Amino acid sequence: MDTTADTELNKSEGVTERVTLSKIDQSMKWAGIFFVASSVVWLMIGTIFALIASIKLHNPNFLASLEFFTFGRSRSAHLNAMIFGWANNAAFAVALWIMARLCKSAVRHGGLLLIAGIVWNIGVTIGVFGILTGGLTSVEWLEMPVAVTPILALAYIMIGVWSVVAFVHRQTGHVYVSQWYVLGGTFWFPWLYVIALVMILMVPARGVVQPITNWWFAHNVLGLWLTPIGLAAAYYMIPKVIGKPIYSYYLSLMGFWTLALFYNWAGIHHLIGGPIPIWLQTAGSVASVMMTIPVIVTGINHHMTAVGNASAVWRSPTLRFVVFGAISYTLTSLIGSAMALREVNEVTHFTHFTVGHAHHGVYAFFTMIMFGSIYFMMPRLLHKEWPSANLIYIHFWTTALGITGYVVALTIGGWIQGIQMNNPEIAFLDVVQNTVPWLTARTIFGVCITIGHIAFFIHFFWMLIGKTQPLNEGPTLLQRESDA
Amino acid sequence: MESWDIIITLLIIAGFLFFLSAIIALYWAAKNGQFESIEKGARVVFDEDEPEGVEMDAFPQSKPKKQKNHS
Repeated sequence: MDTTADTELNKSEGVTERVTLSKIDQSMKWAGIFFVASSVVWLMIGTIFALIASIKLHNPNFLASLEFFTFGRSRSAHLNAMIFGWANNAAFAVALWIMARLCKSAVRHGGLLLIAGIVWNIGVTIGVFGILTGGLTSVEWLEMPVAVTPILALAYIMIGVWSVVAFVHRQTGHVYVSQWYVLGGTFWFPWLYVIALVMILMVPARGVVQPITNWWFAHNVLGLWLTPIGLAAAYYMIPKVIGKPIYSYYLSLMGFWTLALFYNWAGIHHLIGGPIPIWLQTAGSVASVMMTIPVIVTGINHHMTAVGNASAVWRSPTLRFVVFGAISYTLTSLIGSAMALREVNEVTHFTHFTVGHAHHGVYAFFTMIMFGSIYFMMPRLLHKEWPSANLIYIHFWTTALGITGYVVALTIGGWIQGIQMNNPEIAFLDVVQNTVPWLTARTIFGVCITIGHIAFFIHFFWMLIGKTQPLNEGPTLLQRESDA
Repeated sequence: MESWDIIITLLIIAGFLFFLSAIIALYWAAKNGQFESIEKGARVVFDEDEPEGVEMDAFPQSKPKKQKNHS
């Protein structure tokens, strides 16, 4: 069946020659470089705001005289720079590249893609500037000034179209699970973004419909955009680098369709105990618990593939990061499902536990997988080697230890905070002061992560600008030096 | 208030179409044989350029153990 589909496609296109991977890599080169370079710059900007916001929580006098860096602004600037600057740019690069490779279809009109990317980054820049100058909205995850949002929506659609174009022109019969995830993600995000904009900011819905829409949107940016792209990359990178197919491909397809079915309901668990209909909260909890199905299915797949090949994982810079991310995905998702239970939520709601959990998802899972994917992708786009193995070691250990310490500190600190807040005997100010050691620990681990980001930043631009000897032709870069 | 009614109606219709597109995608996948020959499908990540059975990525100084034993 697959082969007939292949030949039919070839006939209809009049194409007989095979599209090599290096040709596809070449077609993605400039757009890929642009997206990754902007994502790395945004990562640094987001990190600086993260540090400022973090220090302010245990040392309120820090930069207190500068209105641009009040906690509300620097925290929102951090969030938007990371999500729309770092995460989206990295996701565009990795997702479109994986899509093109799996479709065996070179990126068409790469120049247009580049322009769309530039528009996106102009939008994010204006948005973050708007936040710093006080033009932010009060809606979490939609803080950017409303005027800039149509630019972002348009730019996103212009970029997302490329995954559809690649899919339509695919030369392969079977649709691999990563392609499902990328297609799903690029369809879902614009829908989420536009609906949230219309119903919250442009033609505001009345009353509690706004927070419901807000959390449906904000949670789904993680669940229906970043998660699919992260999983797509993991499902591509793990078998690719190890050289063995995924443990159970059947389970991976089931994981995709169950994620599509359950995740969009789960965001309401952010409003448990709030003034919204109880049935809606219950639906959110049920969906969150149902998410254990795709999570366990994906977890089995990633771990069973990696476990038998642990030494190969450890040898590979890419897989160190990707498998760290895959393990974090299982952990953070199961913790997230538990947090949606009312009994647990009574403790964790409105505490730093939630902040730790959010970073567990976006950083330990998504960001680590993007780091790994970029380590795999860039040598193939540039036909250059990464210049320094030591910088990769530094990057891995500082970020891996940093985010682990971060999540552990806020999880324990947040839980204690929640227990104390539920105890009417303890004065509120005492509860706040008891969080200070945990918040200080967060800043220390944040500095650790920052060191890793600086290493990555230097390494990336060193590779991009520096004159590194291309080791060998062909796409198996990074491996050949050991043979030499 | 009337413009809000129109917008929410349009959004509900759009949401319905969006949901429908997911069902069509699932239906297409099943009809197209995407859920058959699963084992073969798992191997589409490999091709002649980056074949199955070859580790694609390693730190320069780390050699696969098998190669060490052979040499």
